[in-house]
Formats: sequence, structure tokens, C-alpha cells
Amino acid sequence: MFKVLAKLGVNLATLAQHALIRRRRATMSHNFIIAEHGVSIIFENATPNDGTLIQSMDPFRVNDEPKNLLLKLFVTNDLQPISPEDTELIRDIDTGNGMTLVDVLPSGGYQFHIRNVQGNLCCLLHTNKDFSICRCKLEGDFTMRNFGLNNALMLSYAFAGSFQQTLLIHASLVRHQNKGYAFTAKSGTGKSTHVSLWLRYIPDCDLMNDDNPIVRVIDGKPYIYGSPWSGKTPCYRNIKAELGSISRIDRAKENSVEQMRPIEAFASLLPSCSTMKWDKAVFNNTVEIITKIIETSKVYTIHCLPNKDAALLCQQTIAK
Amino acid sequence: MKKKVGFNLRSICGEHIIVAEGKENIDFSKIISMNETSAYLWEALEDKEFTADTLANLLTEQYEVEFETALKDCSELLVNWQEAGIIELKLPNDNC
Repeated sequence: MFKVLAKLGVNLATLAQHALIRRRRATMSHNFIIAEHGVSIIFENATPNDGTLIQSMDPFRVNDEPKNLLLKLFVTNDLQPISPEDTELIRDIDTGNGMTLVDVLPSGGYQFHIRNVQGNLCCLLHTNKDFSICRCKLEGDFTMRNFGLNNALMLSYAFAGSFQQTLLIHASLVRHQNKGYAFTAKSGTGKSTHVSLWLRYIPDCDLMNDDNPIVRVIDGKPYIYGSPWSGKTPCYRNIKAELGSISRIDRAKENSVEQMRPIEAFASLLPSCSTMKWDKAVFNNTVEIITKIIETSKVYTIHCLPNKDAALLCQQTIAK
Repeated sequence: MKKKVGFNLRSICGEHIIVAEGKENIDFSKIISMNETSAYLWEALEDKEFTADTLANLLTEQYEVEFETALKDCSELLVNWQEAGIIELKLPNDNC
């Protein structure tokens, strides 16, 4: 009898410990500073989801909740889709990595159904109007949930950031002599190729990001930052540089570089930036940040071949 | 005629452009560049309906130009605006 009780006692103690651990794990906060903006990701009744889903965020991790919090993203299983009768459909948008269905919620916030290229739902995301509070539910296997969470975060960050003179730009970014040079191009035109030529042939160069760096205008001065989103190249660097310039790559038969006039620059940058044309506030923010970037830095077109001379000519022209 | 909703005049480094916004204009990806006169007219029209005459009158108010000359220029401008897709013809039965 005693033996049994003792055994039971031990078991009870173990159970209690398990319960404690489980309770502690039920809410788990992860804090980050990305381009000097605080971001909290909180797992709340989110089993089996945890921090392993956001390893690309590790270089941005901080211990305590940052004071200047840009956004809080809750990951939870307790989220239900709002039915189409109660939402206003914007449209199904091709993100290049699958379709995302966008609805406006009665609160003025948004509902996103983020799907992968196979068309499977990976994440349901609800946000408030300025994207400061976001909640998401992840679906599918690890790869899908990882994709879903990273996209939910990128999207929330981009739109919340717009209210703080912060912009996500689709570009490959090289650092040269402490300045950041961003290269945009239509998919497949070869921005990564051009950047790899800089890395190979020009001294004092390193890759800051290969897909989605962050631009901020602080006290009238433009800066560019590495981010946890870098496309197929795992380059997640928590670094900052003065913005040197932004250049659009155009494949041509001869190498030449020309500075864009302001309107051309605007027309070139707008499609490269994450924004929502249908949202007055966010779109207006984006247009204002782009305008400030054009006022404070240079935008070029690079007509080029994928060769060494292209990189050298480009560096001599834009990195004076 | 009427300005299409969501086609707002903006200024970049002192130059004038029209950028489309709003759910209806998601697919309108052009940026329209405007000179000083065109930008003045676009602003002055506000949300009112207009014809070439309206534009010509606005021009003569602001610039030293004969109405007939202004009218000729404004008719051309209207064709430009229409081709750019930034104005719409108001249908006669629109209010029904």
C-alpha cells in the first residue's frame, strides 16, 4: 500500500511538473528588433507551433519585449475565418509564391488566406487597421506552417511599417564601403546575378539581403537594412547601412548606366514595394516614403550584360 | 465628363503626377505625368462634372489666354486624358 502511494506520489509530482511546463508553454513570447522596430510573436495555444518555425528570425532576437513595438503577432489555434457575408472581398492576389485571398473585416482590419504554390491554405491571418495587432492560425505540415508564418509576418511588418516611414522593397542588396546598394528588376532579369558580380569583382562588398530588404527614412536620411526575408538565399542579417542608391536592372546588349528623373524613379520604385493600392492609408504612406527616398537619394537604370564590366561600370557610376 | 475616383494628383521633386488608388484601380499601373497647367486644371475641377468649356473657362481665369485658343487646347487635353484612362464620360441615365 505504502509502495503504491509513494509511487502514486511520485507520479502526481511528475504530473504536476508536466502541467506546469505545459502551462508555461501555452503562452510563449519571442521578441525581435527588425530595422529598429520591435516585433513580438506570441504563441498562445498554438501546439504544435513554436519558435522552431521562425529560425530565420534568430539574428533579430532580443530578450525583453521592445519598447518601440511595431506589431504583435499572435499564433493561435483559436481563430476562425470570418464568413464572406460579413467581409468585403478585395481579391485573390498572386504573390509570386502562391495566392493570397484578401478581405476587409467589419472592424476595418483585414483577413488574409495565405496559400502556397500548390494552392493549399498555410495561414489564416486577421489584422487590425494599422497592423499593430495581428492573429494567425497555421495549417499543414512544418514547411507549410513555416511558409505561412513567415508570410504573415512579412506582410504585417510591411503594412505596419508603412505608418513609420518604413518600406519593404523587392530587391537584392549589396553593401560596399558601408553603403547599401539595392538592385530591383522584374523576376528573372538577374538582380541576384548582378549582385554576385559585385561580390566577386569589387573589393569591400558583402551581401546584405537577396530579396526583401527594408528601407527607412530617419530625420530626412534614407537607410537600408537586412531582414528575415531573403527569398531563396538564406541571408538573414541584422545590419544597417546608409542607402547608397537604388538601381533597376535592364538586360541590354551593351553596358550603360543612367540616373532616372524623379517621375521615372517613382514609376520604377512603386511596383517594387510592398503596398496595398486599395487601402487609402497604407498606399498614401507608401507613396510618401517613396517620394522621400527619391528626394534624398539617387535612382538609376542599369542597362547591362551579365558580366564583370557591367559590375565595374555600375560601381564606378553609382558608388562615387 | 468626370474625373475617375481615386486618381489623385501628387508632387514629386516639384513635378506633378497622377497615381491611381483604391480597389477599383488595382489594375491601373500607369503613372500619369502632368505639366503645370494640366495639374492646375485637374485640381481646380475637384469632383465636378465638366466639358471642354469648363476647362477653357478655368484656364482664362488663371492665364492670359483667349477663350477660343484655350478651348482648342483643352479639347486636345481632354482627348489625352481620355486616352490615359483617367476620366469617364458621365452616362445620361446615371442618376436613375
